[in-house]
Amino acid sequence: MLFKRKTYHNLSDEELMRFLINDGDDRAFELLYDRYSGKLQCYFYRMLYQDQNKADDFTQDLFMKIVERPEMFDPNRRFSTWLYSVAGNMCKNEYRRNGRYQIVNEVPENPIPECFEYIPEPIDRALFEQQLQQAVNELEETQKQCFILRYQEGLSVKEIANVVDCPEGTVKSRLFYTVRKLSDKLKIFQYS
Amino acid sequence: MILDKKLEGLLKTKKFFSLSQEEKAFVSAKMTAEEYQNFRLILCGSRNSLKKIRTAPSPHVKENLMAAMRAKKAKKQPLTVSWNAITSYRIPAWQAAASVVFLLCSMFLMKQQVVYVENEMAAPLMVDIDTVYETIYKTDTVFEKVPVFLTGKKNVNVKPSSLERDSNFAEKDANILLTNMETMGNEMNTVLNDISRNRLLADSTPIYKNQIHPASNSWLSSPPRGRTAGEDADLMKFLTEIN
Repeated sequence: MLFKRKTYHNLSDEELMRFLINDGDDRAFELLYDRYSGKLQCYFYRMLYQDQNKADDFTQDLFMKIVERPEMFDPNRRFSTWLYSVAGNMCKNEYRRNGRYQIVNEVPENPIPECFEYIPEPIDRALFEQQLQQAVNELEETQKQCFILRYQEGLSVKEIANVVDCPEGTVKSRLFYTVRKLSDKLKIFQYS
Repeated sequence: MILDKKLEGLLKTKKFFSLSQEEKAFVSAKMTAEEYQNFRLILCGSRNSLKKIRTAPSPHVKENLMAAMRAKKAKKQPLTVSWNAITSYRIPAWQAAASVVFLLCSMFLMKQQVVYVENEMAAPLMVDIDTVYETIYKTDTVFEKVPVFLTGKKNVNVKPSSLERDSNFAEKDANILLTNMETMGNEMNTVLNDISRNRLLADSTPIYKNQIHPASNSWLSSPPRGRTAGEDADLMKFLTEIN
């Protein structure tokens, strides 16, 4: 149809960014925030020591960068990939500031039992999830980033390669060894 | 070792004992059955556990960002014209048609209005009187006196007698003056005065009016006497050789 009112919800992330860059369109910004704030909040939460306040601050800082300098966005890249790469760099800076990365020293509420075969299944599953989160937090920075982007945020291997700026083969390799490391730590649950 | 798409797909969907012979062969090349089951545990478990911790940022984060966005826009607004927004703005077809009709109607009404004004103009009008200042430019002839200098040649390395010198120069001057007399008439006296005053043509010897009339001065038509510069030079050369 020739005459049609612009509807923001139908626009892609890249088109919204174009409106934001050219016109400073706050409606476009609001929509981008609604689409990605939750995902990034979760990403920061997982990457930065499961600290809710820190995740809030980092989410705000990231979107503030977009408000202040939207022209930073490279139109040749996908917006989601670009956004996660900026978020990844922020995490790296935070690790550097803290001197490598902190290991969350949360003592599990339910320590891994010696005799797991006697644990009823619902408790077993909850315990597994808790232990998995703990194991993910203890991963190296690059492995953790790839694992979270792949299995939490659902990015493709190609997108992850763009985010972390390395070949796809490297990402696949990292994923393989990360899963192997986690499975070694948590193989105890296999029998339950 | 890499976790490729096919292996990942199998891990997410099938247990090891559910794999076909071909799939088992593919998996066995990469890992043992136990490893496969452990991998599967991690991938399936992480899909559930990681998605459970979905959190949303606190509402004040959005408020802060939108306030910053509005502040930036307010600062930027008066300076820029959003041509992109103007050109890409779309309106319904009926609005476009209505605006065209409105324009045509308004043009028609404007034309009617002009005729009405012309009829009113026929009525007598009050004319305001005001002082008008006019600049008048006057032209006049201005005469300027320009002095005229006549130049002549003079031999500088010859020393004729004063009489010869006078007569030589007087003859030349007279010829010039006679020519001028025919054309200039009354200006003769002025030229003579200038000659005598400025001593340009007659060196230091004054010339009087009665001396230069050809009728009363027969010497004006006789050939010049004395030596020229060339003759003088030859004479000097000759005398030098003799001596």
